[in-house]
Amino acid sequence: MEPLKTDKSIDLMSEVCPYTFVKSKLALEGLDAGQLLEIHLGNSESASNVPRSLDLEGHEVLDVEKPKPNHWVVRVKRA
Amino acid sequence: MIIPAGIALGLLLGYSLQRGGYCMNSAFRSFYLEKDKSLVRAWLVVLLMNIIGVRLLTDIGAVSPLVAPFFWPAAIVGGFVFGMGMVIAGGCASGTYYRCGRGMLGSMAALIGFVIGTAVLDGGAGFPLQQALRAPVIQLAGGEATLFSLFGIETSLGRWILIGALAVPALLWLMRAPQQKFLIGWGWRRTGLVVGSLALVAWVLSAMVGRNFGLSFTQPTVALTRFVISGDSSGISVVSYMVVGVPIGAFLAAKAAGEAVLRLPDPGRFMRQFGGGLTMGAGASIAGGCNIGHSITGASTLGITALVSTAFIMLGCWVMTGIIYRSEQQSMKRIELALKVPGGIQ
Repeated sequence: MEPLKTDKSIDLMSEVCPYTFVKSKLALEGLDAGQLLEIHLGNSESASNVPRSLDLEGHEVLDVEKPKPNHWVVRVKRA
Repeated sequence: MIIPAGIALGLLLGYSLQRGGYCMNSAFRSFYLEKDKSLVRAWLVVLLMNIIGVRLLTDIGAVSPLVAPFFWPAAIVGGFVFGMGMVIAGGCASGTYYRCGRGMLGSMAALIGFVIGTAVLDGGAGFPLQQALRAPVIQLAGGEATLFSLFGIETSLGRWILIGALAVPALLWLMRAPQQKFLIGWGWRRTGLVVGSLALVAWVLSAMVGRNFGLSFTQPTVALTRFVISGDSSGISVVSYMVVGVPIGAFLAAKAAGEAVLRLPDPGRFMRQFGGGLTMGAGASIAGGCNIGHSITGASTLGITALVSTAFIMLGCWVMTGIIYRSEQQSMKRIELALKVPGGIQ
């Protein structure tokens, strides 16, 4: 299977709440429906709260990966 | 005895706060910003357990909770200032303590600010302001400023009816909770049950050493600062040792998950978090409590000062979150405009 193409990537590794969610939400709103956003997060609270909140906003969270300690990558498709 | 007991309580609490990601700044903010209410649910579990537990303990004579007089200007101003401060600090009082433990230097800046802010307003140069805001007190007919007195309830049965009337809708809401997805660490149920139990343990431990209150962070922070700096140990109690244990417990939890790493935010954010901590400390000292002392411990006695402070902590949190949201929206628009040049970047 061909990996999905990411349309935009944002680095929020040094951000904390509420900036992580606010910036993710605004970045998604800047995309077209069906486009893919990749969010890089640096703390466990944000890595849990951001995908959950975006999911409840109706966007499709494809996966949350943890490539290394204190680094989470969330991939979301804009609704 | 009191020292190991306090530190042990702090270790367990810090461990649980880290595992549960239990930040009340996030909980309060989510009323306004996010659709996810998991942390609100965790807080409600803590609150329900403690409202019921403290009432039971009071009924059997095990504790006799101290209720703050209703110094309404201090509750309103202090709560609002604290609420605004915690958003900029990147965490509430307890949230700041536990994040320090896992090496977030921005939270350490916030904690230093919090220590200074509380010291200045409580006995320091800002003390007259705290005193002035606490001078106007509304007396309630029934004595202590609680919801029970407000509603003129004097019997034990009456108190339990009021507690039931508050608890049943909250329980029904909790039972309708959707499944919590994308979980890292503990879910809201476990977090709420563990933190709630530790809060009750704090009431009992305190009562054993003659302190009529439960968990708190503001007073023990002030007391500890005073002791460390001037040798005055008059305010030191079991919870002062607890606040020392919290970052250590959080460190152990984070270490086990491979998340305990020293991390420095950019200089601007570092200074902002320091300023947020300072603001938060000032607010907590004015209001006589923080998100723990008021929004858990005081609220579990249904104390009016605690409930009013909590309402204004929330309001301050929402106002500051709104300001941040709008400013991020504006800067996003500016970037979009800048990129909209013919044939420019998408």
